[in-house]
Order: sequence, then C-alpha cells, then structure tokens
Amino acid sequence: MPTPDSALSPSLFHLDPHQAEPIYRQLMAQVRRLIAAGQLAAGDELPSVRALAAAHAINPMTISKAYSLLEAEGLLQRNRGAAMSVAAAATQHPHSNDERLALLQPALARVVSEAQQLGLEPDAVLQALAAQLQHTTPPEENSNEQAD
Amino acid sequence: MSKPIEVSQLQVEREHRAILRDVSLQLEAGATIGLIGRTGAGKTTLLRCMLGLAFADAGSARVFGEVATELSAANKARLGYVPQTPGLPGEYTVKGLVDLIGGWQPKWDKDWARELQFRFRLPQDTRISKLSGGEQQLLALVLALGHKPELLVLDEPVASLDPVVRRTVAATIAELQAERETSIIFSTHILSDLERLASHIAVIEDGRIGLLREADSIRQDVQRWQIRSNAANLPDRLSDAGVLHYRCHSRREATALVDVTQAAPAAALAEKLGAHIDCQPLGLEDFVVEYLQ
Repeated sequence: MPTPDSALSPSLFHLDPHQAEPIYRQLMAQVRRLIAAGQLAAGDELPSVRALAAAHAINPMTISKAYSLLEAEGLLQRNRGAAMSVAAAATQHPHSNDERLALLQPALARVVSEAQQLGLEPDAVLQALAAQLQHTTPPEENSNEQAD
Repeated sequence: MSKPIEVSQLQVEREHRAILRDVSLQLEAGATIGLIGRTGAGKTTLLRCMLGLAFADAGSARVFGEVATELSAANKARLGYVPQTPGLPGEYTVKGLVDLIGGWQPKWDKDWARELQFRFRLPQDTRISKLSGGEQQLLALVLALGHKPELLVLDEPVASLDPVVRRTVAATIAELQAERETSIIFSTHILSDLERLASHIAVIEDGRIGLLREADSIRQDVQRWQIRSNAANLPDRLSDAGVLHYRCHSRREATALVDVTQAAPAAALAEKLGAHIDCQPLGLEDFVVEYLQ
C-alpha cells in the first residue's frame, strides 16, 4: 500500500504522547487548525492511517478514531479505499468567526473545568477573562507569512 | 469472534509465595496493552501464563478462544512472542537462524523479514554469540514479526535498545498493526517509547491488576492533585470516589491521582480536608510513576 504522492506528509503533524492531551484530540485540533488557517484546502488528501501510525509510532486505532470523528464533524470525507481528504464544506467559510471560536473550545473547556475544580463563580471567571482580553493587545498581522 | 487473549481469575503461586492473585484481563482485536509494573510485580509470569508457557494454580487463560496450554498449531502460527531473555543459539549466524525459523513458519514473509533486518541494522553473517544484547533482542523481534502475526506478546522487548532503535521498533510495530490489525500486549518496567503504541495501560502491582484503562482516557480524565494543609492533619488514606491513588508525604502534604469524571470537585475535598489543592493535568509517564509510588 504505497502512499499516493498527493497525500500530505505525516510530518505535518506533531503528536506528543507525553502531553496530558489525548493523542486523538491533538490530531483533531491540528487538522482543524490547518483547515481554518487555509493551509489545507478542499480535496487535500491526509496521510493514510498507516503512514501516520508508522511515522509517529502511534497506535493506528488512535489515528482512525481522530479521522472518524473529524469525518462525523463534516471536516473530512472518506474517499475510495480508505484515504481521507478535506471535505468541500469544511473550507467554504474558513475564516468565519464561528470556525475560529470553535478552535478555542478545548482551551475554554479546560478553563471551565479548572474553574469548577477551584469552586469559582462563573461571574468571577468571566470578569477575569474580560480583564485578560483587555489587557492583551491583538497581535499585528504578519504580512511576511503570505508566501504565495 | 473470540478475543486474542482472555485471562480470567488467574492465580499463580511459586514456593508458597503468591505471584499472581486473581488477575483478569482481556485484549481486544487491534488493541495494545502496555503492562506496566515494577520488577517482580508478576509481569513475566502473567505473559507466560497467557501463552500457556507456564501453568496457573487457578483460573484460565485463552488465546483466540483456545485454552492457552493446549494451543493448536494453527493458532500458534498467528502469534509472535519475544521473551525477556531470547536465549538464541549462539553458534548460528543471523541469516542462518532467520532462514531456519522462517522455514518452519507456514506464513513467513521473506521480504518483510529482510526489510526488518535492514531496518534494525542486523549484520547477516555474524554469529549470534558475537551480537550485543540489544542486537539479540532485535533478532528475536525479527523472528517474532517475520510472519506478520495477529497477536504479539513482548516481554520487556526494548529494555536494552538505544532510543533511536526503540523508535524504529515502535514505528515498525505500528505499521504492522495498521496492516494486520495486530493485537499487542507488552510489558515494561519503565516507560519507553513503546507507550506511544499503547491504546490501554494496565498497571500490575504485587500480582494484581491495579488499573486497566485507555491511555487517552488517563491523559484526558486523570489529574494530579497536590494537597497542602497548614493544619497538618492530612489522613494516611483517602478513598473518596474517583481517587485512584493517594500518597501522604507528611501531615502537611499529599498527592492524589484523581479521575475527575468520578470525583467531587477539588474545592469540596479541599474544604473537607481543610487543605489547599492544586490541580494539575498530567501525562502518562508522570501518571505511572506516581501510581507506582
């Protein structure tokens, strides 16, 4: 089963088994980010489960799980064989507010979970978040990154 | 379809000492269990019982549905095993032994076996007695993987390998797994690169499986809670819901491993103990090290 030339390189992803974040979630987040950032276009073929499993020495079931969940979300589609590619619908509004907000969800979920563990009131957390947002100036657009 | 491995209520005693006490464990198709425990915890005995290489005093072990001690030739051909000490015949050359063992295996894949030798950088014509411990371990892996087994049992398979080769071995196993949906159980006393492969982690302690859980679920749901009390009255034990492990360093300090999906909020425990709790997410390695303390 040679990897077709059109498929992306497995080294596009960085999977770290030592992190506290589950590996399948790391992979899902990276695919989402690449799509939202426009680095993956509709029809782009992802590395095969086998290629990704071998390149990162990760259990193939973990990779299949991430791909299947992304397929269920409508971001990926399964082609003939078992190859996965970026779904057309996934890139229609790549820079919409909702898309980018969705990428923030895991971080928000962590904040909520920790706030609950600490027994903090929602209002106090929201105030802290608002203060943090005001405190931080938005990063300037980097025009050097527009390579093509 | 019968499971690759099913062990039920296994008990083993040697010289009046309990080695395994009531161990039950199932390995599902395509899953990889990393069996982790300190030296002497019973890992090797458990793996040997699973394969019918050692007899149990009570309980049962089944491989592909067959009683492990009466395994048919057909099912033996579906599995690969690397014992802790391979015990390979020193007078053979690498090529000589690979050809000999390959000749016995009905499903031997010559091209794949050659590919493995190349990847593991094994010299062809060197006598096995001249190989290093690590090279002998790699040769044992070639012999266990050459027929692309559906079930792989590895006892401390990478203990004497350097990090680069360990990664090559792990990647090769992942590749085989993707192709054949190979089920794997491996033991280790340290976390090596192999934990990358584990879909499940089983911790064996004093002859018992203390914990068997999906690796990603440990990463996701288990936190380390550092508990500090100024009143210096922390308890010796803590058995609240969701507390997987608790270690009291002193009356002032303790560490708990907590499944946050099962436990009450940290704030509630902090109030109960009159303590401050710092919640930290943790990776697999930190989890195992703390759990085995």
